[in-house]
Amino acid sequence: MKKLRLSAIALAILGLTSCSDGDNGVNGVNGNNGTDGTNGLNSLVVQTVLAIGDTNCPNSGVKIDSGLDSDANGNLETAEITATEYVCNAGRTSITSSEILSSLNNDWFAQGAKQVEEAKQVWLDATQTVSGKSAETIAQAKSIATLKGQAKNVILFVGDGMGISTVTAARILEGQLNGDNGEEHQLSFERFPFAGLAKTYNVDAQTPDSAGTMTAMMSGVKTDVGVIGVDEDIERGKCATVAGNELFTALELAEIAGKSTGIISTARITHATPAATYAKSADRNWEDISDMPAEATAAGCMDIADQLVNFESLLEAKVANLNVDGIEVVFGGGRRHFLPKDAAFNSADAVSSVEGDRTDNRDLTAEWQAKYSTGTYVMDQTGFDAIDPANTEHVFGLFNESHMQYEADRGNDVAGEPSISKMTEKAIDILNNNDEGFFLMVESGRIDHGHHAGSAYNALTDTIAFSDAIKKAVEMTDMSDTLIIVTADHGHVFTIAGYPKRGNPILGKVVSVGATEPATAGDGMPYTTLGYTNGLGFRDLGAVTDADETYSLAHAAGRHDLTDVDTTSAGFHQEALVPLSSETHSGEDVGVFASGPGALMVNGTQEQSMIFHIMDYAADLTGKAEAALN
Amino acid sequence: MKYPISSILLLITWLTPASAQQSCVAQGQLKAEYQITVIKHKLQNMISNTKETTLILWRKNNVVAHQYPSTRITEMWQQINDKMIKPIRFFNEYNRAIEYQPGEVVHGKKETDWSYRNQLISDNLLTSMQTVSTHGETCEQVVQLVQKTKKGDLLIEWMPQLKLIKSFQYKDPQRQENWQLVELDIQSAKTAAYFDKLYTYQSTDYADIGDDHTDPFLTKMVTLGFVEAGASGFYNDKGQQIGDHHH
Repeated sequence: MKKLRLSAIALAILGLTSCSDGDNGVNGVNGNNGTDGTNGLNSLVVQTVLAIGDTNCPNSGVKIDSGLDSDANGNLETAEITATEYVCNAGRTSITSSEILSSLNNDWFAQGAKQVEEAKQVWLDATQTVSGKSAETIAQAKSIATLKGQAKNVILFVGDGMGISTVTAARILEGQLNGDNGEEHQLSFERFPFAGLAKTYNVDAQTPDSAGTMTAMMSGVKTDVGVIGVDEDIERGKCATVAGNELFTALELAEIAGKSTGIISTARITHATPAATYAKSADRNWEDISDMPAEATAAGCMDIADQLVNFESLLEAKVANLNVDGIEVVFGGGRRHFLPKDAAFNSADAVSSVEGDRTDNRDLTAEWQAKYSTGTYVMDQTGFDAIDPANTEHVFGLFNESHMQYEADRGNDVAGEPSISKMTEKAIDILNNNDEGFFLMVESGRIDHGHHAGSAYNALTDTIAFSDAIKKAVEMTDMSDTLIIVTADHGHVFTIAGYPKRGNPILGKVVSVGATEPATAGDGMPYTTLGYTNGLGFRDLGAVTDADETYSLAHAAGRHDLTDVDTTSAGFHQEALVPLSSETHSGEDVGVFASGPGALMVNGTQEQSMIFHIMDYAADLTGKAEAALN
Repeated sequence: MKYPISSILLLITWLTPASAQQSCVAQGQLKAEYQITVIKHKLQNMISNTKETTLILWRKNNVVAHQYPSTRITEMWQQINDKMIKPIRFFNEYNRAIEYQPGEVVHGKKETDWSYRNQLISDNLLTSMQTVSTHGETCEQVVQLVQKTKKGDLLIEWMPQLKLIKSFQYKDPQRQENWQLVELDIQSAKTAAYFDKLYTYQSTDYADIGDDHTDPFLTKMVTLGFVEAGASGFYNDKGQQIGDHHH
């Protein structure tokens, strides 16, 4: 086989080599030039000087962006940048002696350093974090003692029913109204430097009411539910048990000490919370004489409205050789308790055929005017606007027959009502006229009513209005001489529940993280973030801004199909579990927020009555009252 | 002073003849008692359900009250001005009252039509009806009015000077409703006494219902007074909305 192959190859080679060579051909003609190509893109470089503090060059430097000018407009747009480089300056590692001296030896720095050091020491002493028991006790006592009487002015803001969940939800709502997610937002008083918790129970009640809690805050003594300005030895509704059990209030002490005093409430001014600043009553419901049993009046007990108008003389009668000038500012609702039950005494914006409730035929507004002849009685927005703070010694404003309007409903008032913020502003302007300082109590009374009616909308919009009032007070006062405490008397059975995603409308239905449609419960129906444990429950009243309308309808507790309901509307009332004639208070702690002298004493979890003692200490109300008497 | 209805026309003639309502009754006060019969037909009229109740209308100037003896509840409306009507609900069994603000939605309805509460029939409905006949003069004048619609037929005897219904009949295939004035009392003392008694009740502002959970009455409110078996009048000229049964 090998031999045969070699033979075949040899034959093939012979065949190839048998052809002869020809002549070379002529070169062809050159072809035409091709067309010119398009111009290429320019490459651009942009340098940007970076200031000190830049993220990439903390000590300043230059940012160099480069790329092709794709649109050939001569500018390097962001989309055209293909590379970015930084050339950073080196940080300073040394400083001259003269620079050190100018930075550390100026008055501003020295003053600031001193304040920081003092505050730090006071905090360490007050919180008992210094070592050595005897040294601790001595230092603490010494530092706390320096706080006594430093507060020239005291303002107590009480959000009635403004529990922790209310603060949280109102914070989110205000943030969302500002166009943000909401959760990161802060209400004005949440920026205060000190905060703590207060235990709210009454002596005889696990879940409290406003009468007992406000008495604790104003007098420093916890007492029974439903009673005003008296201690626990009282028997509710028994006039005879009042005598000997009356408590002094912070407002009374401030009055004796020579300070100006004021009370503001968006509820009736004779309602439990404001009443606890000035009245002593065996029953919170004794707002006027027609509310009292005959035996109580026969035994000499006075109704709450009467006590307000005669506050000055009653206090002077209680303390020997005392001469005070009375409460300078009273703003609120509740005109009905000051007027006779006679249509002839109706105000211009009366909403009853007979506005007054008093059955003793007394017109207490006229009696007040007779006592304070230079004072001003007002009953509407026009009268309020006409008050000149610089030249007003006493003012008595009763802006509604009953409670003032919800903030959301204020525009519907017949004669117009001032906002809580405007009342606070006007009050401080008047009270500031006294060099001895002032005590002011401001209550947002209708947060509580919104919750009772099962309306988160009303409760939260009133909380936001309350926050605005506090912001105004902060702006108008100096935190070096003004103690501001913001708290609630109790909470409500109001919850923020489910797992809504960040930024989900707080009044809306729960939309889960990553979802766009409302989540559904085990019953296949959507549910809201906000809800109540009890009360009248679900309402879909559309644009109605007055939560109290729920009371005219039968309860609707339990689950309802919310698929086609706009739960963010003013007239939506959240679902409730347990059917009750109204939603109830809750028994958990409430927040206390404080700013100004003595504010650091607000910390941890304290008894609610501690609030009085903090105010008393910071302003030395008792000491100055005693000094004024001697 | 109580009169059977048959003698009403005679009794009111002792009053000074006048064209105004105020002149037909003493001091704008009256008490009018109605017997109400409602018959509902089911299963092609094979079964009928008859229900009878009583409504007492009380008037005193710009205040009107509807008393429902069967439920022991009295509804009052005060006309504050042309635009404001204030409702108050009295619980006669408990001597307690709940006051509402004017302009509030009560029973799902905002009170704006005084004629409806004061007369038990709205002026709008009256003016939409046809007059069949007129008898008598001044205070004893009675006008017979009718309205026939696809829904049903209305027949009313109306006393224009007293602004009072003497009788009312409504009939459709499913339902028949008859109101009959059975007693009219124009003696002011009795009416005044009734109003005075209501005003002695302990009254609670509706906004304060949640304030005091130690009050047994307020805690029971959730089961009181929201379902009213009686009727309270005739509102408009649309046959399907003749009665207001949402108390």
